[in-house]
Amino acid sequence: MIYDTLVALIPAVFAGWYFFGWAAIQIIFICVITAVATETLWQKLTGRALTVKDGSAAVTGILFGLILSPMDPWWLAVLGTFVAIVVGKHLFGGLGNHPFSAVLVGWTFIQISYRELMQDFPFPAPKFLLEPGKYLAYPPLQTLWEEDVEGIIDVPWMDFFVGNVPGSIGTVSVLAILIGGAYLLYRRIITWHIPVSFIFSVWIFAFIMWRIDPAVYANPTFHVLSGWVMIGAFFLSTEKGTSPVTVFGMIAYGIGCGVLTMIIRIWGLYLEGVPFAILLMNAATPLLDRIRPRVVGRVEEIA
Amino acid sequence: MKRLRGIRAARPLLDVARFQPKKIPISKEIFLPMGTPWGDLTPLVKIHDEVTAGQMIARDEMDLAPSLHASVSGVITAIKSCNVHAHAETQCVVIRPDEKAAGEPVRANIEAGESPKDLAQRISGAGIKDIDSHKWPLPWRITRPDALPDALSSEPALQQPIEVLIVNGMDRQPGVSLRSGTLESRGKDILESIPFLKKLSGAQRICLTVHDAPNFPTNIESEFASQSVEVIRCPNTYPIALVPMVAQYVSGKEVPQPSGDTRSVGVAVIDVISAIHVLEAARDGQPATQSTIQISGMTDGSAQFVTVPEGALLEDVLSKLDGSARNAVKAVVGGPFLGYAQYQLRIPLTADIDAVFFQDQQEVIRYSDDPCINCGFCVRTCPMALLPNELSKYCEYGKFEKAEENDLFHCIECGICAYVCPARRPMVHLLRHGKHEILASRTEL
Repeated sequence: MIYDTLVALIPAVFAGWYFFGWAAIQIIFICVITAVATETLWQKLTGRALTVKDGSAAVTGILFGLILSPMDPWWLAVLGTFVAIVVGKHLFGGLGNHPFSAVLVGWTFIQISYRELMQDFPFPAPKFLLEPGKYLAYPPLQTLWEEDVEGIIDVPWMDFFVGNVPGSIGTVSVLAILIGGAYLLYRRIITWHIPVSFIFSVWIFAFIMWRIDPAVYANPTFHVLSGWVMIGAFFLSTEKGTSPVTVFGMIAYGIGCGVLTMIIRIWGLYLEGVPFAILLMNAATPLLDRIRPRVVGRVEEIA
Repeated sequence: MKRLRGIRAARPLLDVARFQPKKIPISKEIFLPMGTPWGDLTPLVKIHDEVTAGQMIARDEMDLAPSLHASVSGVITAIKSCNVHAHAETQCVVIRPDEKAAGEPVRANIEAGESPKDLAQRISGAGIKDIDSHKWPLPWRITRPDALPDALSSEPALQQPIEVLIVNGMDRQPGVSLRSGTLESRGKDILESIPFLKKLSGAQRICLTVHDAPNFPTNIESEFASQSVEVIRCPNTYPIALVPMVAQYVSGKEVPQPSGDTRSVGVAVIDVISAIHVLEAARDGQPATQSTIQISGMTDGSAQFVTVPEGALLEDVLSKLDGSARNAVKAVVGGPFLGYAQYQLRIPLTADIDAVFFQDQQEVIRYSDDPCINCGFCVRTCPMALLPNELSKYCEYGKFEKAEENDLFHCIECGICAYVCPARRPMVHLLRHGKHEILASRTEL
């Protein structure tokens, strides 16, 4: 199951190399090494059985690398991954027992502590085929924040879709994440409920705001194609153990993630709403799981 | 028709030519358990008595549970407690086969034109046991209300007329093709049993459920049309062949749980193997003492079908087969999904066993004691729409009341949760453990 997730992340890692070169691979590599080493060390120190072979630490490492910028300092990647594995995962009891997405716990820690160091994003430099996207100097959401709707209105949808914009390694390319997500769906590792309700509710919420005032609020499609929505919908919010398991719970969770994302993006202090939305909904997961499906056979017995 | 949840099951490639159950002669002791789901039987014989094959050796005083018949001729050597495959201990009658003691098999006299009530009584005397677990024993489960004995006439569910009688020709679980094979090779007998079933049940609609496979069994639709039996081809999923599922699929009515009493929604279910036993009892007065069992996953991976007298020990049967289970490290009695793993081979092959499944060292999937990772795979596939992840945790940590509150007893132990679990938790073991503990605490009170 977890190895399938590793396979599903290959397109995103490839897209990172394609747009940002070996610096991206280097950061991802640092994160994976740190994640695996931290887990091994922690389990040795606490005298628990080694679970590195199950691949979950490697998945955490790759995902962590994908949400960083290739220009972030290497020690920040190490620190964040360390926090993700120790605080996010093992202090709660390891795989399946941690209530919050480990990756996002680590990311939130370094984001809040070292925000200034995490604001440099390289220009995309595709290795072949494409010309570098030249419409944006900053990641799409930062451009929207600083220059309002005029800043992003000229950018072709194709640039957002393939990922030809500045941004963190794995979040720019919608196409790569969609390929990975389709693989996860095909292998039935995830079901459609969370990603579809997440993305759909982002679009609906943005659409309503956009209809209210297109001069102030960006096009809904921009919100879906930019930033973390895709990686959040397919990889971060569907993490096992942090997301609900019932159909109703999954849909409510997806909608909650989408709505909170848009609220933070539009009225919040942070540029990107996805990580905080997912963390908040992680906290609601045990509640959502209490809404149960109707059990088969619960019918009136003849008295 | 509401879609039933479960997993897709590939149709087993049944080599029909190979479905010729081999009769295995038994020379060692035979263990016939007297425990039934409806109470223990009373023995009619004593130690050192000589019995002939087919002779009734134990019966229910209320005449409800199926009676027990000697499956071989021989001498009773003991009446003692022993283990049966589902890990319950029960009193068994032990018979040592003895060729000298063999007389003519006991057969009943049959009067023509008998009433449904007499027919039911006669079938009741044949001791037919089911492979599936049912709320009511045969033949009362498929008997029209006016032919029931007085002891059952106060049961409201049985007082309902039977709207649909389902003759189930689908294999219970993936990897077992006993019923498909029976359907293909003994279709004529099943067809012949239909008039008896009609008379007994008084059902307006009789359905034969089979797997959805092109032209299998050959010409079945046209053959059964002659008895106005509706042939229903069901999707190739698991666990559609289990009793509450097939009843819901055919009738569209949900079977109440945890009783699983299909009669309360006007449905009666009998499988093709029991239908043949009914025919033999009704036509020939022959008690059901032989059972056909699929033995699969032997060293060469092939399936063999054997017909053995009820109560033969598994180790005895194995020693007479070619290609023994030399390298097998795990024996599962009852089939890959629904069975019970055994710690010994001295287990009587009772009539409720349809398959024995062996695995060698490489094939065995080891369960782990890892914690649940809440992936939700089991929730998605549970045919009863339970939350097996939570139930398994409740049962693991001894919170049995919580498990019961969350409908533990609706679980039909189909085994899909254990099959899909990526953490390889022993799901069915945990749930069975929980049920066992709850039932044990109830009897203590």
